[in-house]
Amino acid sequence: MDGTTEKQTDEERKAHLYALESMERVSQAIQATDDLEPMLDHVLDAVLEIFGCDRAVLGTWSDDLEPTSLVILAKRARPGFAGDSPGVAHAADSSLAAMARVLRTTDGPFQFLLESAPTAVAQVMARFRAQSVLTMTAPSEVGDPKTGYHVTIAQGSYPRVWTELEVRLFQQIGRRLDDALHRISVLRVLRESEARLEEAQRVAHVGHWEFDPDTDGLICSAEAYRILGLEPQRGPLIGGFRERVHPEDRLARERGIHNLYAGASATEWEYRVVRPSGEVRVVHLRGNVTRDDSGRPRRTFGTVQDVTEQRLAEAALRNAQRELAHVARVSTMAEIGSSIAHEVNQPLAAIVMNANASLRWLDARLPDLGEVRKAVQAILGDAHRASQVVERIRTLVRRDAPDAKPLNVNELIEDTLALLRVELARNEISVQTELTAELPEAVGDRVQVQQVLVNLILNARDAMESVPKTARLLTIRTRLDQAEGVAIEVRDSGKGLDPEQADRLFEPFYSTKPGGLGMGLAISRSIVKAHRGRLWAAPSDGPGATLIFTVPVAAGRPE
Amino acid sequence: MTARSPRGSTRTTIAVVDDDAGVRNALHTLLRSMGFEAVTFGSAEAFLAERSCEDIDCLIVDLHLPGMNGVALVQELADCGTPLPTILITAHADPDSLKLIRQIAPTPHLTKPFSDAELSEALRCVLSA
Repeated sequence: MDGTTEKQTDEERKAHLYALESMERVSQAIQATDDLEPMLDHVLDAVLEIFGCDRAVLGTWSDDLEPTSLVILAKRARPGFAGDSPGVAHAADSSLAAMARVLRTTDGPFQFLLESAPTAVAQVMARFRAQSVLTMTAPSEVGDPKTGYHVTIAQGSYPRVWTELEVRLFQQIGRRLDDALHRISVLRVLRESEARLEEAQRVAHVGHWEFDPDTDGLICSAEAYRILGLEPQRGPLIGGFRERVHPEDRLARERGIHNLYAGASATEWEYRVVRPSGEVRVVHLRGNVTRDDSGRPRRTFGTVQDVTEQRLAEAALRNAQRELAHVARVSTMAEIGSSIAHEVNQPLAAIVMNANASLRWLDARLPDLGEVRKAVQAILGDAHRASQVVERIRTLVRRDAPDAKPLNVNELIEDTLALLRVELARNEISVQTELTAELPEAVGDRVQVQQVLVNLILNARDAMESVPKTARLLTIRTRLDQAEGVAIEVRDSGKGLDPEQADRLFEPFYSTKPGGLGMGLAISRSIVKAHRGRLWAAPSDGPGATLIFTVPVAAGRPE
Repeated sequence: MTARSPRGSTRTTIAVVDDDAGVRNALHTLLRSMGFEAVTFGSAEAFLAERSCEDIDCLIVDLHLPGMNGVALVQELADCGTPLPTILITAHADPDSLKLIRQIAPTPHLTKPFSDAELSEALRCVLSA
């Protein structure tokens, strides 16, 4: 074997090893950190040592600047060759810009010696006392010159000629560095979008979570931890989150989770969370289950939203509506007060008269106990009647929370007509009822449904004010509507509604009456709506107006 | 109280017109315990149809009746030339009722509930007039 060849091979092997070691060093420097600046400093330090050069610079061409400039991202140099600091942008004159275009779009590296370099390049080299440079633009995004990073190493101490091996190593390092830079920029974009998501979640009080049923591990976004009253965690939180659930809501939560695993699609549930401070929040969750091929749940992912304010506002609205409904009932009472007084006074008058009569029978020389017995029995009957009237009034003005219960609508209509009997008689309104027998029970709050009925009847009364007394007829019908439940129809024989009135009838504060507040029908409609029924003005097929409302029947009830 | 009929018969007969059965029956009982004859009617129309005014000494009529009201009945009787001593009764003395009563010649009226003493006084008043 030829000695020279042997020596060459040995040197080649050494150079190859050196190149491998060098790449390893660069890789280690790159992997040491995800933070851009320390990473670049470490890589450039390694490059200085690997090539034994005086200066290593990483820059990027910025087209955002005018003229196009090279922005220095990082720079390491031996003493005496410092040159420009990072962040400095080098504006390129026309000749350098032309040079830059070549560098940016050509898969380098290029080497220049001070004495032989093109003037534009030589001027830049002179500025930082470089006698020789090796430079390349990494073609990270092929065909897009804007995204490339520009790496340059320089020798200031002598006009170094870079060997082929050095050029190849430089190229490899340049590409490796470019990969790393792109990974970091992707990471940075990801972090920024994560930060934006977190901010959005914080503002919207929404978080997301992920649960692994196998490990019982819960991973949450920062806002989700906050909403659930948990300490933010680095890794999954194993158990420990159930304790935060309000004791009364644990069953509701279990049920929600059961539905989540039982159902095929997304599920929603809600419960209260007690934060460590003792504060109680209402949380609304939505979840989705991912299953493996056998259908076994693998992973659940979902969102959690703090709906406390919403729920409080809803409760406040319900209270306000209840108050308004109560006020409306009380004002109805005031309106029909004298009729009610009449209604109470009738049995009381009968009681007083029967009692007086009894005393007279007893005071007679020969007490007539038979008559006394009859009178006392009459007293009992009237007292019972009085208590019924009082009970009807009491029900009308009750201020309880609405309570949906089975409701016999026909009975309710009879009761309501009894309450309004005198009021209607006083206005000389005849009443006709066509109540369908064997109507199924509706489901509703008796007080509220009665209020709707009272409102509609009193409206009918007012509508007939201008009609001759003999033509005043109030008709109340009930029937079963297969789709909507029990329908109650209140018809008057007034002058009817024109289409414009029919449209506006249910608007708050809309009134056709001089003294009317215009809340009666608006309240009635909101009550009916809360019962999942409907209230509307039906087109009239005769004189007068017809208003109909529906109250649903109990589910599963045979019709 | 003596219950001598102005018409000279043994007992004074009083007609009660009230749509409320409880009140009607109680008045009937009370009047009988006071020594009167009493006949009752559920409406002004029923009274006019069933009864000749010859047999009646006094009328106790509710102001608010379905159909013809108490005041209209008094007017009707006067128009027919058969006026009767009358006591109006009402369950609630509201301004509207008082206005209605003022449409006819001054007539005693009682607001329910009333005692036997009040009733006696009113009867004494109209029967002696």
